[in-house]
Amino acid sequence: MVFEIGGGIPEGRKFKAVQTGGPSGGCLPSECLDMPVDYESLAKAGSIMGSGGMIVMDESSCMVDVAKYFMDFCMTESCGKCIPCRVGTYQMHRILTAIGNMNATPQDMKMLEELCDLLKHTSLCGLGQSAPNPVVSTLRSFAEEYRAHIEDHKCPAGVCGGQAAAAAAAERETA
Amino acid sequence: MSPVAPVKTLKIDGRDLSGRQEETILDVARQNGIFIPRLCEMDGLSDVGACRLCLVEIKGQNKLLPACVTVVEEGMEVTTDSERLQGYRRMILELLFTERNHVCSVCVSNGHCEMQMLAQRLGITHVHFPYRYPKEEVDASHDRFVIDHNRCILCTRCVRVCDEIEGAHTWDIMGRGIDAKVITDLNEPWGTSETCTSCGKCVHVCPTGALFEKGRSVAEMLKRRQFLPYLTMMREENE
Repeated sequence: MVFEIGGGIPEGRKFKAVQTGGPSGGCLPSECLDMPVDYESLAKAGSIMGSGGMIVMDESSCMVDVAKYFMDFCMTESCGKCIPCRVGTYQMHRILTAIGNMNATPQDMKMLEELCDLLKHTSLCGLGQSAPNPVVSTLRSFAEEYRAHIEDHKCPAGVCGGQAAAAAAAERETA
Repeated sequence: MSPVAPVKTLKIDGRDLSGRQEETILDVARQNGIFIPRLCEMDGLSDVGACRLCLVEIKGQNKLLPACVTVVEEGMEVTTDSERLQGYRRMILELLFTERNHVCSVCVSNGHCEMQMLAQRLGITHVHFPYRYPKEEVDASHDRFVIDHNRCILCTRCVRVCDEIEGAHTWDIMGRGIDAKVITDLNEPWGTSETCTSCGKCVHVCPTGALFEKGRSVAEMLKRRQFLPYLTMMREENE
């Protein structure tokens, strides 16, 4: 589907992931490229049909940045009625931002995983329950990218960084 | 033949109990001395199921359900206290502590705060998520009462008591998500509110030190909740 109907990846770059189902969906890695697009297969692979939309990403996209983007959406769209979604999406967004700025710790990763579980099982409505999906699916298929940000302070796709990351690096130098 | 009494029998934490068909799991648990934590629920007000602290496990159900809004069913098997539930409850409460500035030592409700008591009961010794430290306002424009948004947990008890019991609907929620806050009228100073009757019900149902009477210092704000079940009972009798 991605290559035949969509025309493939521009400028000869390598395919990385396809995100299905909108902000509540999940990111699927290249192993899932030949999979049929139906409800059952998508659910089995750890994503959803959702809106039916697809976002195809190549190696120039950073999966941490993608997860942060969707978490930003969920945080802004949270109504604020229940605590897990209201504060949980905020905390998850904060951790993903820290990872993108290269100043997250392994403890942050543990917290991120705890929050994924909490939001999924205790949120009042579908928004909070599915808010962790982009994080859970990228953690499952692209854990190496998270590790690179936290341990090597590098973004493999070259997306994350900028001023905040430079400041974090300077702080590490002096410490 | 006697009419069939609409009574449901169920198991809560292994105990055989019964409740009327319109009662919730929380009602039945409360009647039988089983403690289920909650912060938004209050006897006498409508239930919103928002704090997620009263979530319980029900056999045969994948999802955790809030005890305050789940009506009892025949043969239900409910677990109110498992390691998993305790973990979730502690995390939810921790998130609440990080959200605003809950500094117990200088709070008017220190020692009488529902959130503080719950944290102690659930064994929270520290908060492992980072605090937000937002800049929240204090509105002391009312003659007798103060709202300190630093301590507000958005349980909406004040909103509900004002609307459902007093009938004034002075309180409401503005904004959404992490930016949501309670407001009086159209986000005007409480003191200038034209709908507020200064009855003080909101102050006394507030679980924390967010709403308090003027002139109270640290740990001095004792809340009187007895009026609510009394009022509800008297009104039902009059109907």
